Amino acid sequence: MGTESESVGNIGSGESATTPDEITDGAAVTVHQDGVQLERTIGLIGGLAIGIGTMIGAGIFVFPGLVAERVGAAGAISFAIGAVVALLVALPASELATAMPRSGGGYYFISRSLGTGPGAIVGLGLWLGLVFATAFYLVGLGHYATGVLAELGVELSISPVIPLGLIFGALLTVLSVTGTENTAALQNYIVGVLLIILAVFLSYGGLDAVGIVGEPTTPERYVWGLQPLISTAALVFTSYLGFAQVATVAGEIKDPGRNLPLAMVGSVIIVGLLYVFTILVGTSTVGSAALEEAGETAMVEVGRELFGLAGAVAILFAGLLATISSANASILSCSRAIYATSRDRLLPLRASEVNRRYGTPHIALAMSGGPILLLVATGEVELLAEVASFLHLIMYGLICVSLIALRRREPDWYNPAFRMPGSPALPAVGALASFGLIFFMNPVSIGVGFVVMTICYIWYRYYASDVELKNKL
Amino acid sequence: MSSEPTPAGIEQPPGILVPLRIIDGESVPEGLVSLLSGSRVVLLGYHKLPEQTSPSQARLQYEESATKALQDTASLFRDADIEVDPHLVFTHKVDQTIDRIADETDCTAIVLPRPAVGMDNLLIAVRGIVNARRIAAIAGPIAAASDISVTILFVRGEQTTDAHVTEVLNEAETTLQDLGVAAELITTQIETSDRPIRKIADVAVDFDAVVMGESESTLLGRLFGQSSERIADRFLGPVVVVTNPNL
Repeated sequence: MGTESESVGNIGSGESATTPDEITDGAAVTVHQDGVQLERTIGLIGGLAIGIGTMIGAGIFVFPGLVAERVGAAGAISFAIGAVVALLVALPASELATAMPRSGGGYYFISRSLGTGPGAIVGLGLWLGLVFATAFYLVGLGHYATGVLAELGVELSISPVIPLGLIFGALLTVLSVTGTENTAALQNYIVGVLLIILAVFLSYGGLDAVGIVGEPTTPERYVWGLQPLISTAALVFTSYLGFAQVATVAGEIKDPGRNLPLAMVGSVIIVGLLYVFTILVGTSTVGSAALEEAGETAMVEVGRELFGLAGAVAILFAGLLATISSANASILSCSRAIYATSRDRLLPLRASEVNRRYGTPHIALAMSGGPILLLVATGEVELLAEVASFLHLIMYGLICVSLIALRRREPDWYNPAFRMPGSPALPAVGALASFGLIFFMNPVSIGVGFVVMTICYIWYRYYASDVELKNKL
Repeated sequence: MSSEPTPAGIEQPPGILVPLRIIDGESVPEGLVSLLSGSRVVLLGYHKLPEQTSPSQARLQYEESATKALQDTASLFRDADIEVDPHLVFTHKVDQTIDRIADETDCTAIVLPRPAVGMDNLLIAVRGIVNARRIAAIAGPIAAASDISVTILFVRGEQTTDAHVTEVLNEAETTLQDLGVAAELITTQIETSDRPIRKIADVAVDFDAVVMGESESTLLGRLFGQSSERIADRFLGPVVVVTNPNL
């Protein structure tokens, strides 16, 4: 232990919160003062794939049934509300990311503009928020894997949803530590395949609904009213958590001034449209009562209605891909969040350690995978989704506040390549919308979210009260 | 620099990229320093990371040891009076990094760093006029600096005309002589084969190093591309691969 912890203590001498380091950003490389170069390797497609790949699993393959249960076809409006809030945050996040294209995303912006305290809440909260989000995706994955078993005619005495979620979670964590094959290209293909399957379903289903193919059908049930629509928007907001994950790899994005805003805003617009259409087509095709009954795998019934068994199988397959892709992307973002906070000494530097054999951040990945498995075991889809949204919404609100603060101060180092229009009004609306959405959540979720946040703050006071991050670039 | 001859648009001395997996302990193999004594060396110490790891995270842990290893390696070249330009890069995509560094530093060739037992003779494999000029422009300084003999190899097919063969070999020979290789050290060899790569590999066995062209789209592709890879499979010494030889 002795020598090992010593060497871990030394490696930080190059980059830390206390030794500022001149950095030059090129389109394809970041050059540090000492000449060391960090290659930027993720292009626009890769950035979009991270954003879309993280988000798409939840909104299309888990939520439609839950949304139909609450508000019927009006769920499309809830998804649209979520998209607007996400866009209001994606714009300031894009501006901040182009000014600070570093690993850590939202945590980095907030700690540098608002200081260590808010930074710690957001940074540690982002870690835990992603833990909740990943657990949610894994439970969704468990539902789809169960659907596959059911389709194969496998009868089990107990529900295999949670065991399957746990198995996949453990598998993904182990693979993320030991897998050194480049899977980024694979992620791009998965997202591409998903988009194609969805495009086919939505266009055919859309034509079916308006009567060009078969009999016209109408969404038969709407629930109107601001309260149910917004509280549903608060629930499904988990389907929009991916765009900010693009910023956690901001340090690796090529030509960040152009690609970061395009990837963040673009992925929100693409998934937002898909979600809205999915709900409209789903409720028109089988009706919200049938969606509600099918629960987390409601889309399978839509596929079955449109294309028979082949449709059901295609959607099951797509659902598996989508939830795996969301869970995998979130585990990786989670480890980036841990790295970003430990680099700043909000967590022990040890957490950033890279495994000698695999070259992967094994401790950070274990700190992601471990708690994720604990949460999967609860199997509480809605609670997991809402707590994940809560922790992200706090960050989103503070991202908007950071933008307003930086625009007022305009420090020397603040030179974003992209400047959002409508400041300070739009970011102010974004902050209010983000914080406001929290109050429409289930009280239990709000309670759990507050407890997590408070623990983060206490940890900061206890462990890192002497760390100063404001303006430390 | 402008007073130097620039055959085929290649500045002299030509820049040659030497990629090394520096953190995995890859070092400059024996004989490579003397092979490159007439060239300008761009030393690229790279560390390839899985995508789970942020390059800045790896830098945090490995910078110190990597910088030291790179400086030690660079001084091997400096001690031999070779101009050397070291770079340390953490990357997810080695081919992108190699291409970028080669582009930024005007390198027209990349060397597959493998040990050379002695350094007495050099084989250069040529195919066309431009190809011959570019390859000779890289091989010339290598041969001239250590006064070693050069064999220009042309593997002809059934269709190749004698005139073409002579023209290509002359072009290579003239370029080599322009770059200071003594005429008596240059020999030419003509072989006939439908499978030129295999033939080059067969001939290469009697030489200490090979200079050849490769027109794959990326530099790493060129290094491990079809022809150079198949030759590297059978020829175990250093291979200098000239990029875009037919440009």
